[in-house]
Amino acid sequence: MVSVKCCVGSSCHIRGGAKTLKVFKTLIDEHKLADEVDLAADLCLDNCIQAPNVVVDGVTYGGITPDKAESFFFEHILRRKI
Amino acid sequence: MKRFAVDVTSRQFSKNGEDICGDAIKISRTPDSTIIVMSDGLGSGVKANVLATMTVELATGLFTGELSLQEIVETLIATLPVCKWRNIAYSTFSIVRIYDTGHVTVAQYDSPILLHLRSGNRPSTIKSTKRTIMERTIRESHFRLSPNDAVLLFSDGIVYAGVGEGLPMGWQEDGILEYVSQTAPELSECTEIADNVAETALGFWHERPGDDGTVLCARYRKAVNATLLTGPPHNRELVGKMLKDFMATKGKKIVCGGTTSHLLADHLDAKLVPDERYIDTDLPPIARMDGVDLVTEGILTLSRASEYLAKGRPKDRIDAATTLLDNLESVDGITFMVGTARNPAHQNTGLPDSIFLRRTVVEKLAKRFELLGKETELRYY
Repeated sequence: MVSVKCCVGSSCHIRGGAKTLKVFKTLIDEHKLADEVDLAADLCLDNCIQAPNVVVDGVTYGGITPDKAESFFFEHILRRKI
Repeated sequence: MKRFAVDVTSRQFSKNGEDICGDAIKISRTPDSTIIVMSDGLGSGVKANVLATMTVELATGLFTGELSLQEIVETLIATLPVCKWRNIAYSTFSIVRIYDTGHVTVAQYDSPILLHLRSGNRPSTIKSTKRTIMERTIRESHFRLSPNDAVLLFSDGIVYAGVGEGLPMGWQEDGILEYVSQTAPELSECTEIADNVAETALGFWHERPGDDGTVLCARYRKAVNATLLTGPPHNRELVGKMLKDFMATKGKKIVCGGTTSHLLADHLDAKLVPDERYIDTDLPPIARMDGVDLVTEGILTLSRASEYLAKGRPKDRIDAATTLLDNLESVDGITFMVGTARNPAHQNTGLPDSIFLRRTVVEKLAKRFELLGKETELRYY
């Protein structure tokens, strides 16, 4: 199980965090990964300056704007699963 | 914050054939009391309404001048015109002042009695003493309300409901007392009592009232307060104090802020769970945490809540700001505990910098709640 936290706090929300979360959710549904990826929103991941932030298994990644979300998903989330 | 509050609800009807009610009511609040003035203007229609409105406005205005009740009554009597033809005053009045301590003072001129309602007890009439002021008889009373007690006031159109329509003497004060004791022994909501009395009076009038009618119910109750915590303090060393102060408050507890909610979650060793149902809105979601009533993101949600208060909220919409307002609109007082740390990430976002001045956003929101009659207090950390 991969744990993915997607920040939707003030800074991340303004910079597209909620959309990034949506992209992840769509990809998880499309690839039927609900049992393997634990996706959750968070109100602050304490890295506002690099918003929007995503934490995968405890590792923080900054600047994951919606346009980068899909490639990030395959590169950092799916790879972990495999 | 106030410990007690007074809810006032009223129902009115106009004499058959009139568009406008000849009774008037005005409610005003002072820092330590709620003042209710009710007046019945002579006759009906526009003329009566003007006279009654003049009376309630004048009486209410006099209270702002810090005059005693006696001085106010004297001024009213001296000022109100008298009908030369009938040699009676153009309007009657009841002035009821309910202090936050529960103490009530009443001065009435030519008005029906008022009732004291207490859950589980039979409603009682209030004993009054008569006093002559400038040749007019004024009834004065002083009594105490316990929390959840109510006061019921009504005008002539209720007392004489049914005259000429099958009740030769009308409903009468005793009849109203009997009705209220049977229908509201457990003292339901004020609105219900006022509605029921007005509806019953209208029924006696066969929906063709021979006079203007007004019923007013004022309930004295414990105030409900909320505390809203937002933003980390400017000095990190104050975090512990701020959180302790917050948890020590009574009433509803609301946290608005991502960082702030994480600080509190750590402090309480509690889990923060964002509510999935709010993900699809254009505001960050609310979250749940044991020990507090609501958690939302900070600045965007507070700004939006302020906007909804000013411009009205969109229909059928549920987002973090509407949920925040649902939680705050029902309370009497709100303490805002505002941390003044600035988040360096809130720059170059493409949005005006002023949005991110938490202090400004919160002060604006507090002002808007004050306009809704809520007491607010701001504390900065």
